[in-house]
Amino acid sequence: VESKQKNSARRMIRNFLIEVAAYGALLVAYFFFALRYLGEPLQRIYETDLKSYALWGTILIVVQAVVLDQVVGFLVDFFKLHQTDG
Amino acid sequence: LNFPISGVSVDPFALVLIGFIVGVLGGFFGVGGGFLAGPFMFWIGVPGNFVVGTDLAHITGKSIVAFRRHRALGNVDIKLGFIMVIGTVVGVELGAQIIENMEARHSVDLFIGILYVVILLLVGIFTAFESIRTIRRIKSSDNPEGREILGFQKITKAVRRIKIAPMISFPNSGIEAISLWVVLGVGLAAGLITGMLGVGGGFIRMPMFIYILGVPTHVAVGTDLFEIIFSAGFGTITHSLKGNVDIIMALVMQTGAAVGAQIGSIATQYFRGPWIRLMFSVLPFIGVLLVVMKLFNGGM
Repeated sequence: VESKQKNSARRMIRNFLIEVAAYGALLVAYFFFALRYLGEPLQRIYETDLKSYALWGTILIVVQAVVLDQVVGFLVDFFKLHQTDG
Repeated sequence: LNFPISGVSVDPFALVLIGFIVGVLGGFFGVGGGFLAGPFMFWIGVPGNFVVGTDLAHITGKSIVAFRRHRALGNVDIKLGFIMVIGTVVGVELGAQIIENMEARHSVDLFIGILYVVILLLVGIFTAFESIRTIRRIKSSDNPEGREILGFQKITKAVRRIKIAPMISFPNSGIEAISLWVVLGVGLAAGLITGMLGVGGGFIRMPMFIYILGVPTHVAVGTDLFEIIFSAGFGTITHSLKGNVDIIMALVMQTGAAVGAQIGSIATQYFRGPWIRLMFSVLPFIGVLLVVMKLFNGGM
């Protein structure tokens, strides 16, 4: 029983690390995407229309959180890493 | 790296690191973490007028990530969260009005500072005292009960005795029946303190969920994050309208915060309620330290 528990814990930690690494890679990719393509348009909106800026800013924050989380969820399913979800 | 909206050059990795630390704390304790991120952002060179708004924007995103993870773990009571949001919004508005009225007459910085310190000290000392007592009880018991034990239930029991209709239930939190007015009142009180002190309120709401409403610690963490999405989201919009949010900077911070929030949320699985509360009790003391430093450096 003890050996089974140890294996399960080891697998859980491994899966968790894979999940965090996948998430980290996605975020780094997004990080460069955001800086490269979003900087200029957002600055333009900021200087011309603060209402649109507030709207777009909030949408971007929410979408980034949801989409990245869903992509990771897909990867977790794809690589069968469910065990980290308890 | 240059951030054109705020017009400053800041190390992006420092932003990611701040986001990561705050993300872990948020995912694990259900707090926004603005009390830590704010001073650090200021320290690395983010202009003062952009600190609060940008911090709120990244807290919104981080809370969404942590909330989704906690929901997957069954740690969120959406019904309770929604009702609390209503009370909190009214309370925040009321608290802000009170402060505005007081400010019209005299300076309130010192008053707010002292009130903040007193509330945080009370929360920190009480949470530490209760969790240590509970952990001792668990250690001395041969057959420890479940993952959630509360060492101080007097307030919860007294609150449950209030039978003002309508009575509602929160099965996800294990609450069979509680007066709607009590829940709204708790939200209002938390909002009032938040509005008066101008802070996120996770510090105050988390213990209120646990010690007043009797919500299990893990559910309190998840439900508090659900509330933070609304409060920080609202703050993000209002600060954006004033031009005080650098969204690019917030998105960069969120990259770190999102990973941290995942780690913090998953880590709650490996700790029982009293241990989470004991670790949580350290946070108010850090908050006190920061406020005292601010007061000595010339006002809030």
